[in-house]
Amino acid sequence: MSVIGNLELKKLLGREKLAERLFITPLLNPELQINEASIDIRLGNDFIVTRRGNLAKLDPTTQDVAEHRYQMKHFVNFRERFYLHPHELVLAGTLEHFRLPVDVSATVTSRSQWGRAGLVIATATAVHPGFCGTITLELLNLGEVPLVLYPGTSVAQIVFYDCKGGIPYEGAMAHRTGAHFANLSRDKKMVDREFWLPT
Amino acid sequence: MPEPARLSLDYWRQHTHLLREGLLQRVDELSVSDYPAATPKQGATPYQVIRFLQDFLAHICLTIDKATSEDRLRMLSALIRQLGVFLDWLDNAHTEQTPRGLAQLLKDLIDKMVPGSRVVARPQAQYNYSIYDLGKTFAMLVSDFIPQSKQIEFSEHLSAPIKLISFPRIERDNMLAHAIFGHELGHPVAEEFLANETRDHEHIATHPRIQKEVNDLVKQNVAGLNADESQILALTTQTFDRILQVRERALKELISDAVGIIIFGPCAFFACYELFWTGSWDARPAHDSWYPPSRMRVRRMLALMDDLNLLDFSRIGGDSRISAYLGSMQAFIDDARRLSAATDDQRGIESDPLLKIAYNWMGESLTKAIEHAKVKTTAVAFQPEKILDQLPELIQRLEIGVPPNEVGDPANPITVDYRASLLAAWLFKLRGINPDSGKTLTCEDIDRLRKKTLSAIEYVILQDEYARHVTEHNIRG
Repeated sequence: MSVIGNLELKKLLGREKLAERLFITPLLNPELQINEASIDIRLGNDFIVTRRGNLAKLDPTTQDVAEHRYQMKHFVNFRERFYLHPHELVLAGTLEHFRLPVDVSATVTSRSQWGRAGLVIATATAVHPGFCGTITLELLNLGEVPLVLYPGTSVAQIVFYDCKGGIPYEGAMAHRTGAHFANLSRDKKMVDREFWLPT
Repeated sequence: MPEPARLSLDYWRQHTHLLREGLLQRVDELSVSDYPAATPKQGATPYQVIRFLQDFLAHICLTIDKATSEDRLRMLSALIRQLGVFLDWLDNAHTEQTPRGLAQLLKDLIDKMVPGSRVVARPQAQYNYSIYDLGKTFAMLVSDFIPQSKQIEFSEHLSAPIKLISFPRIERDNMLAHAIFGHELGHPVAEEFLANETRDHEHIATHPRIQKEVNDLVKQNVAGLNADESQILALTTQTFDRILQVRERALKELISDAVGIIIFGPCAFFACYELFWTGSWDARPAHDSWYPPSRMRVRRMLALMDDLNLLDFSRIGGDSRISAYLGSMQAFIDDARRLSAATDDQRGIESDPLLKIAYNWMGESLTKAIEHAKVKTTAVAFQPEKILDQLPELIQRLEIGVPPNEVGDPANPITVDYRASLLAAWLFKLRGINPDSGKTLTCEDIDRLRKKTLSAIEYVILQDEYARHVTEHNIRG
């Protein structure tokens, strides 16, 4: 597995067959966004904030409250602010829609400037081959002061890797448009939940 | 028994102030909601509506203080109660209920027809699409209730047309159905045609002939009824008025349908057809609404699409990938043609002498009306040559789950016309086959299609605006 560099990224984005192409759309300013070995990606307009007062805890065994009871979707227009307070975690969709070919996987990480200001962009960073949709960023402010976020700004970057023997991802995160919360109690892979979790 | 003591003027003044403050508080509460901006660089219009209401209610405070009679206060209370409808309009205009792409698309289209317009889009419980001129309401409120010396303070609020766009809440995420707004955009065009007609000598010259037909009809109807002259005159006037209403409504709807087709091309047809399908094809124009029969509307829309060459997809027919999609669309159109070949609707109208006069009269003006629609929509007309060339790649993008917002060389892609995105989505839906599984599209597949189409429209508008910004500011990578 090797990191895909600038020239190869451009080739991936320009592959003739659409099914084999790497899609990042809209890539508003490729010359600015395509780096040496990564691509800068932008914040979208959707944020998901937790309403703590409505949520006792997140526990895969007991979480049966409807999502909208403990989440608030917050839509921020371009040129408007979103304040991320210290130690606050929110979910945010990327502006771009992605489609990875099956021979490519990726990880999402902070851009250095934002990272040094305390912004962690993703805690679950892997993007599987064949993934299609917007990516939900897990934004966490580890700094001591509130961070002001604006939709459309590049806060994260995505690093791509060659992937041999990959198969297309069709899991719960696929084909989303906007930020998306993954309900722990509805993890489809927990078919053996009775074995691992108390009843 | 003595009359109870009359409540003082101050009692009713306070009552009116409490109403005003109640409305103002509710409006203030709404000001913290998230509303979608109609363009990436423009603020959201609902905030402007909220500011107008806040300013208006602040000025009304003084008007209440100065009122010298119960009647005046009663009138102001009634006004404030009526303004409560704004709460309903704004309550659902926030981003959780109103797709930004819809507000952006409609703003873009309205702006091309009436430059500088602002739009507020909101879902409503009623299954109905409409566009309401909010700007006119604002102007009326200011001229009727704000002292002349203070009206200057509202000039910014009244500086641009504001349209309130309502759509059925249950269709909120159905971007494909929203092509119906082409029809709604046609209503002002129809109003303008009808207003012009009152000064059109050719049209005015037809009135005496219609009057004679009405006289003859009334004579037939009253024969043997012993009606006196005043009764006959009243009946004649009533019949003539009704014929005017029927004719006017038919023209309004058919002109609006034409505008829908001119703007959205076949997308408007598919969306209208789905809407009509739920009702009767041949319902005769009936009291109050006088809507023309749906079968007639389908027939007229097909004829216009043929006239504008909107159904000739031969220039892309050679592409084997798209032929299956074109085949499904053709089957849909063939079905619609078969439906419109039946004449039950026309027979229904001809069997009613009043409707017959109205529709024959309307038919004489229709060609001129459609020409008017074409002239008034030149800036927003669907351009088949450009759009059809973009279709095959857009459909291919949808097949692999990518929003249909751009085509061409990936290093230098072309942002498409968002109507091409919509048409690609319609073709995908009409074919109804999931390209991966080869099975019929599931509800989940169609939901995904709608969302990706909405994303595509948002992207198209953002990409266009970003490209303009980059050019204007000479920004390079």
